[in-house]
Amino acid sequence: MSNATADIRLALEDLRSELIAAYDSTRPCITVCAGTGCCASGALDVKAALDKEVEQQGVDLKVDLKITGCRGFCEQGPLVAILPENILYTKVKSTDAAQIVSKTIVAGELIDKLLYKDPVTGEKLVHEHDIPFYKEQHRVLLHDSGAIDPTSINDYLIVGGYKALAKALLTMSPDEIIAEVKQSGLGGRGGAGFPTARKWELCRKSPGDEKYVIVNADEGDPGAFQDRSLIEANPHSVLEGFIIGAYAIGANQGFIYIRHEYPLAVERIKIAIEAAREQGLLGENILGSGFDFDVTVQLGAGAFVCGEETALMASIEGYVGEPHARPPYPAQSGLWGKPTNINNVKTWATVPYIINKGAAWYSQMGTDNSKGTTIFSLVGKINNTGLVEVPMGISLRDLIEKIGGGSPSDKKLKAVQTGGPSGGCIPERLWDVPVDYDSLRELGSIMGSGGMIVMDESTCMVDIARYFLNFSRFESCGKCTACREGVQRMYEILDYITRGYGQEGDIDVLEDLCASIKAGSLCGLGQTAPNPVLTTIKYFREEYEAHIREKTCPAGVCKELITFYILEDKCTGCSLCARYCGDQAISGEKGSPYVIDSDKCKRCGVCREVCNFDAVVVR
Amino acid sequence: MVNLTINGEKYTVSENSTVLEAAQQAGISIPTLCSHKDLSPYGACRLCLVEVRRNGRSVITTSCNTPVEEGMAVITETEEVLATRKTMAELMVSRCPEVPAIQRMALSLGVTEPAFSTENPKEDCILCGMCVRACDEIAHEHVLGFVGRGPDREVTTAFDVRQDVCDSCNKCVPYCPTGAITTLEAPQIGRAFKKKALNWKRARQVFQYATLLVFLGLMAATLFNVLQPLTVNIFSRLNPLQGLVTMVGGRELIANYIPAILTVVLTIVFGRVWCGWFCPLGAVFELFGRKDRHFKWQNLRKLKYVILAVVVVMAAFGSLAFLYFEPITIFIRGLTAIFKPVVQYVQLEDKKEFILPGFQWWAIAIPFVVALLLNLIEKRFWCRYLCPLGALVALGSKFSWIKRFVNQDSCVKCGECATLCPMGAISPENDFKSDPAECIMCMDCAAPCPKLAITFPQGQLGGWGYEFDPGRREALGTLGAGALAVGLLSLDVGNVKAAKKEVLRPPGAIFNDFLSKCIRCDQCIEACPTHYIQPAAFEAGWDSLYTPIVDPFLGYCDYDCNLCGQICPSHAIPFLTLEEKRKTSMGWAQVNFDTCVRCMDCKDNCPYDCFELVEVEGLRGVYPRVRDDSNCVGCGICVAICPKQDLKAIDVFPYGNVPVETHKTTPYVEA
Repeated sequence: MSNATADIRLALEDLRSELIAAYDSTRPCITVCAGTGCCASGALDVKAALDKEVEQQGVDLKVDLKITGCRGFCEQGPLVAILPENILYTKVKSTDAAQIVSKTIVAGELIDKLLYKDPVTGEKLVHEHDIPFYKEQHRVLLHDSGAIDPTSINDYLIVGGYKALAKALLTMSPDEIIAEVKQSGLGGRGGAGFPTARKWELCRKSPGDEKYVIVNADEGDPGAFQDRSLIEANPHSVLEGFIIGAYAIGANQGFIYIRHEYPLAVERIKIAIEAAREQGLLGENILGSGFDFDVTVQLGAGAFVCGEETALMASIEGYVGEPHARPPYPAQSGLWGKPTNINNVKTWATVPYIINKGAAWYSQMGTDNSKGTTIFSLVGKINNTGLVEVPMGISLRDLIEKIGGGSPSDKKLKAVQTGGPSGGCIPERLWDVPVDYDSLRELGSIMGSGGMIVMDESTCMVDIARYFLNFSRFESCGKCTACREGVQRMYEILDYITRGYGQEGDIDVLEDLCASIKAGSLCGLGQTAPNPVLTTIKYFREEYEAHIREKTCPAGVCKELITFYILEDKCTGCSLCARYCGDQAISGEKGSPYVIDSDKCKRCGVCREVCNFDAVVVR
Repeated sequence: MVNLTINGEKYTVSENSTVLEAAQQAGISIPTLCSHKDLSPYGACRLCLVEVRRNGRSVITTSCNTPVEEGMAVITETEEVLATRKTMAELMVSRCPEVPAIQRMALSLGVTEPAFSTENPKEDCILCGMCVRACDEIAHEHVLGFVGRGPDREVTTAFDVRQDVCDSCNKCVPYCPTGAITTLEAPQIGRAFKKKALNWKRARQVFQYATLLVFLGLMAATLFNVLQPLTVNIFSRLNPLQGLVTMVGGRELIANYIPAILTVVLTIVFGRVWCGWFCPLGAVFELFGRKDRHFKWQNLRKLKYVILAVVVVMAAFGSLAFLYFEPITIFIRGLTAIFKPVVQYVQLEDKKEFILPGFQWWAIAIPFVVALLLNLIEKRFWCRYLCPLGALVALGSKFSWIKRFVNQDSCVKCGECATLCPMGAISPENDFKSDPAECIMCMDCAAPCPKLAITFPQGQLGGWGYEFDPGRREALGTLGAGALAVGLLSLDVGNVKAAKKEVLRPPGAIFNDFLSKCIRCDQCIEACPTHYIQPAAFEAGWDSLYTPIVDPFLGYCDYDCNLCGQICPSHAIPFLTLEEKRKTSMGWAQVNFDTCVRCMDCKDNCPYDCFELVEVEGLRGVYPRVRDDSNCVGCGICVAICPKQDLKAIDVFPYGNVPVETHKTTPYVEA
């Protein structure tokens, strides 16, 4: 190590020590979650109100106020956490700001109404780590999300940021890094779980001076937001892993391909890149190691298919985002014909932790074939929706019932859909399987990039399959016949079935189409698009048969197949439903049970929603 | 070089080839749609799927864009591969149910009908991307591209601005496998080629209708006797069938038919251009009728060869009776039947004198009317199935230097050409090729071809081997029919031979082997200014149908006219100078003393001074009588002038058939 290099490294460490020295860990700090979810429910207003209150109440010297990235518990947003005690206030409104400052900060009291109430026990929980949603998680990547300001590199440095980069660049050879990652067993977090180290190795060994690395932040599954949240919460961790990977592979130029629908994530990653550049962590001669690397943020136009790596590269090159055949693989001939390595946001973000804590630490988490932790966006008919990080191998039941908190209503949970439009639906009876790449694949689903949608009895599985195919058919690039025409035809059949025009034999046609589309499609989108249909047929065949043979929708979802009617013994004759009905389909006299004229009824369901006595039911 | 196995056989191929190329080199066929040797592989249609095994893993992948690898094992047809290909075909034919190329592809993969319905059955773009790649890689224009995702995907230019960016280089057009590129709404694509093809088509149409006008003009000239006769019958003299049969039938060379050599030469060079460019009757047929192959018995096309052979065989036996199947004569007769009475009416000063001709006159137009009616079944029905002249030039066209050619590499079997062919010559069953004997070189198919696959190159061989080639059956049938016809004639059914003597023929015709040379064109009838020459029905025997006879009750032979001899293309009516004609006898006039009113108009008007005055036994007064030693030629002027025509006071009789006088006469000597 030359002196100059040592100087640069010392400069970083000096800065870190300076920052840590200046940082008073006992000093109260109000953190406002400013992930997209909390922002949407008014977090920025809360922040502004808190700003004002802190100033007005004259405590601005005693307390820090900052925003953080997503804390994951989006269901309960906007979230405000008070450090260092880590008191978590949920569903905070801007009118609560005065109280938070006056009571909690000044007087040190808890505000009862803002505390999280356990829906099972009814107990009020004060600290974040008491809440079951957090208690059962194992947060590695998300560990710092709620603690650091994503727009501040200093916050990241305080929690040990860029230590791994310094270690990798200055003490490790690229081969050593790859060996370390290989030993950790890290698999691609984009969904397929391809060993990351092998991918890097292929690209590293591929001949050529010019190589590229890409962060795939083109997250497009409906209901998935873990990549976005990670970038919004901790952009530097992604960047750090990215630089380490680029060094290991031998690339000097990187691209972060991120969809333009993620404006906050784009803004934060750009701020992070700028800050890293200022600190000499990007650009020429990084940390004096002699390694040059720079990053360009490339905005995607929001095509789901651009998450496919060859399509993504075409998009960066300025062409229409369409996949092309492999071989040649990107590691041989990728971006502009040069060897290229693409990894998911979470994969890159994991790398610094592996370098810092070692492969052995990482590989102790997870199962034999799937190591480490992974992040899910847990959504649907559960109590606690949000972003969760769990070790591989946790059972679906634990994930859904313990962390997710089970069903919010008295309806039974029926299935979980993993992997978005490429994944499948796993029925409740199989929820004891561990969550890892192989187990999910065996069930006909995939891990995907981490979307997890929980469904209860009121969800029609045929309708769900139709929904996902509708997504896939419009997101198919349309290049190959199998995907463009096949998915369209599957959608049409499902649409017919849900509208009561299903015929005997439709299921067989669907299965044949599924097999052909899986075998015949050019890229992963088409190859996995039939999964929602295949798994729903496999596990919920009786629902299909009910639609086709009896022309009924057991879940009461498919409009053409259901009738709304009013239970006489429950109806109080309040006339509320009749007043809401847009089609004048409900008639009756006040005080006596009302009746729905099914000829006029458009099955909008508003009567069921407004009825206070659960008198409106579906048959 | 790379070693691999395909279907278990070992092959060594160049390391740059794809699996598809390797299989094709090995002679193993794999269906493709979006792959073309000129263009980079694309992998859109998914028809060329094969199973590839390497490193212990087996995947189904497209062969067109999978490079060969050492030790790779390829299986081109597994159950799964075939099932998937079939599904792809089902999906494609469901998208484009009406595109013939897709239908054929689907059929070859076992899909007989679309599995799914479509909202837009007229869709003809299969989104294979060939045009896009051609625009990028062949034309280097980068004008065409895909727009939209999934169901909205389409081929177009950026921002749909077409005219401004596409310079109509046409290079994409031949690559489109479905023919959709013409509906790309880029009006200039393919313009240059199409313009050329269209120019030929226009030129042909102009020529054809000009020919028709010339023909009609010549007919008018004949009717009004304004043109020199030698030019008036040029269409007959260009006609090789007439030339052939009259010379065979008459056993002599007829110099009049020298122009027919031109037609023969043109046929050998250009094919059946006579029918498409020259034949005035064909031009009329082109004006209406259905174009496609609609008639059930297409094999009847061979019938025209039979008719031709019968005509020739009978000519060899000295009879031209069947020549009334000859198209030029059919047209002339048709026009004559219609317009001769019109002209006659117009020229009459006293319109009351006009007598509407009877059925026998109109009968000469029957073949013309029938041919026109047959045209309602199919356009050029006559030319397709019956025309002996067409058959003759068809045989010549089999050897022609220029023939229609369909480039099978570009042809997408859209079938457009077959619907446009006025001859129905284009065979949908035989890759839209056409029998040069059926193709009339009209070139109507070239310009509309969406792939510009149709050309008319020189020096192609192989006129035989088509579905309507005349074969042994036709030859035998011909001999039989010819023999039967000749037999019937020689058996003299209908008392033909006796009757032959009983008819009056135009001047000179009776000294001649008239029936062996008369082509039944009836142009003499048309030309005869005095309507003396009339068409025969069966009064002169079955084989004299439509031949010219003379009728003194309808006209007379003008002393100063020899048009019939001048106009006859085959010299059946010999060319006679006026001097010769005045000495050439057609028949003999005889006065019927029982009805004669002794006005002496006949005697006074006879240009040959044939009459003497006689006293008739048992009758009072002096009567005119044709002198036994007179120069009477049977010109019929005396009949024409006779006031007692209705009582046949004087009549002209065939020379050998003059009745014996019933009264004894003695020359009148003036007191």
